[in-house]
Formats: sequence, C-alpha cells, structure tokens
Amino acid sequence: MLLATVLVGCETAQQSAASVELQNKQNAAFQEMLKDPGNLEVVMAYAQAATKAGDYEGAVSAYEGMLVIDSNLPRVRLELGILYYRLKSYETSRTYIETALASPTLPGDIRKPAELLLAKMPKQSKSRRT
Amino acid sequence: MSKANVVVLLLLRALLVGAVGLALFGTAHAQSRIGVTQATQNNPMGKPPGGLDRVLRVGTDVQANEIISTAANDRAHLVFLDGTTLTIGPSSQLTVDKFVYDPTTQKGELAVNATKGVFRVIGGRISKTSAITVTTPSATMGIRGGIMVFGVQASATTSIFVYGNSMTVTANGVTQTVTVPGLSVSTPTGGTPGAPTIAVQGDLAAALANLAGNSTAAAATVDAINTLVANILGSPLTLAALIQAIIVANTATPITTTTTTTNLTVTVVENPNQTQASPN
Repeated sequence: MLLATVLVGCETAQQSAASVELQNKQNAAFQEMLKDPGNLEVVMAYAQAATKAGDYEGAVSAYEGMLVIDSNLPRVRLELGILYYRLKSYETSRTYIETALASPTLPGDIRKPAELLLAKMPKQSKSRRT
Repeated sequence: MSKANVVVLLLLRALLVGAVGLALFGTAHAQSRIGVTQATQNNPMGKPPGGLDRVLRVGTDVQANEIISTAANDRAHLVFLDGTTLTIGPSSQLTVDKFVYDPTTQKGELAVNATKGVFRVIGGRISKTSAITVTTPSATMGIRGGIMVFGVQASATTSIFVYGNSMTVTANGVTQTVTVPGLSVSTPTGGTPGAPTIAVQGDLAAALANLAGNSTAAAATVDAINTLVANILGSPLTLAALIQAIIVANTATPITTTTTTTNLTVTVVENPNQTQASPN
C-alpha cells in the first residue's frame, strides 16, 4: 500500500515536472516571438510549443495571425479547425474545416481526415428562454 | 586649464548627458511598450499618445493608450506582453485604454475601447485571473480565459463567445453572462443586452472571414507557411491518427455545462452523438 502510494506520488511529480518543462519551453518560444514576430519559423515554433503545453488558445492566436497575412491557407485553416475542436468550440471549428475543404489547394490525402472530423462534429444545442 | 582640456571636458559632458537621456528614453520606451504588431495587411495605423500617426508594420511596438485604426482593406494582429492577441478587422478603430502586467505573478489588467469595426480577442495570461474589458458605444464586455469575436456598429454591438470561462455583456444595468461557446449577445445602442442566442453560423463565418486577410500575400510567403504547417501536421497518416485520437477523447469525456443568465438557462451536453436542450 505504502509502495503504491509512493509510486503514484513519483508519477504525479514526474508529470508535473514535464508539464512545467513544456510551459517553460512555451514561455521561451513566446519571448522569441516577441523579439522576432515576423519570422514565420519562430511563430510556428511558438504555435507548436503552445500545442504541446496544452495551451490551444496560444496556438490558435499564432495561426490566426497567419490568416491575416493571407486567407488562402487551407492547411492553417485545418489546423485551426482541429484546435477549436479540442477547445470544444465546435461552430468555429466547423467553419474553419469547411473553408479548408472548400479550397481546391488542400492536398487530397488530408481531405479524408478533415472530412471525418467534420462528420463527427457535435451540433450546437438548441437554447430556450425560460 | 588648457583649451584642449576644456574641449575634452565639454565632449565628456555631452556624452554623459546623451547617455543619461538615452537611458531615460530607453526606460520610458520599455515602460510604454505593451505589445508588438505580429501580422498586418496593407496599412493599419497607430497613434501613440503625444505621437504622430504611423503605419503599423510587423514588429512595430504597440504602446499604452495607442489609438489603432484600419481602412477598408487593412487588418492588424497584435500580441500583448501577456500573450493576449487582438485581431483588428477592416474599417475599425480601437484604443488600448489600459494594460498592466506583472510577468512574475502573471496577473494584470487589460481594457480596450472599440468604437467601430470587427475584432477578435484571444485572452492570454491576464484573462486567466481577471476579465479583459472591452467598452463599445453600446455595451461593456468582459472575457475570461477565452476567445471573443465582436462587431461594433453605431446602432449595436454583437458579441460572440467562441471559447473560455465566460463572457459578460453589460449595458444600462443589465448583464448577460455566457459560458457556452457559440452563443451570441446583441446590444442595441441605448438599450440593454438581449438574451444569448445561438450565433448564426453565417454571421460567425462572415466575422471570421472579415478578420482574415485577403489572398494577396506573395507566393513565396504562402509557400513558406504551407511548408511549415505541413511539417507540423505531419504525414496524412499522422494527421488521421491525431484526428481519430481527439474524436475518441472527445467522445470519452462529455462535458455538461449549465449557463444561467438574466433570463436564459441553457444546458449543453457536449458529445458527438448527443446534444440536447434543458427542458426547464
């Protein structure tokens, strides 16, 4: 019993340390982005670090900036669709995936996964006044 | 004292005064910098307090109390020091009224005043502990830990809650609180905020389209972005596995959220195979 408790405690501590490390990496990537906001590789590195740290909003903010540069980026739209799905913001996710699929430049081999996600998208529930 | 010594002393004094001046300027500059312009389309304008109008270019610092405006084909995407981002659509105007941030505690305050246009706020560290405040001619909104898209016209303000802990909309003593993504609140100027309703997807899509730029970037830039994103997304097989995994995770952890506002109760069961409204 005591051994099990100790093992669980060690595992939790390891997970916590890993989480802190991911957050530190994200913070470092953010500082780099502030220094060099026009460098797409730096911005993408921040988006990736934010995703790994579970900060999907941070990743969304980086990709949304790319769409300001040019709206015809179906891969970016698909990535945004995935991130908004993870945030359970389904209507926004649906909008981005639909516009990604509507683009003729979205590579054919990634259409199927995108269509699957769209098919599994929960619908916005009805609301009613009381 | 020889003439040469006097000249040297004067030079040293000038250098010292210049260095002090530069140091002070640097401090003031550092203090007033609250963020940076990360992306733009065409020529969004900024006007720092006491300064001249300037075009916001990628990398241009954003300063406290700066007035930011866009013409019909302009857009700007700003990143604040706490990680909050603000996208400013075309024909828009906004002032950053207040930005205070302590990186050590990761707490602070952000307040903006939007007079016209379409915007998106993605909350950073500040919004995790206190609401970002947005004031418009018809309403005051607060967004906690999340994402809000809003449109400001002379006749009304429309706010769409995209994600987060909560969005409040207050006008003339009435407050609507929304915690369910995808709900929208409209506030006529001079009136009170209406009950939250499901945002019409066309409206959301139109707002998002307005915030995205036109398709005018150089081909090399578009290619560079596509290559970078493709590397992150990985192969089609990796992408398919990721999508399958997040669908399964989403199905396994349905979340029930209840939102109570002044005159609305909404219950949402979030599950790919099951959604329903509260019967009350």
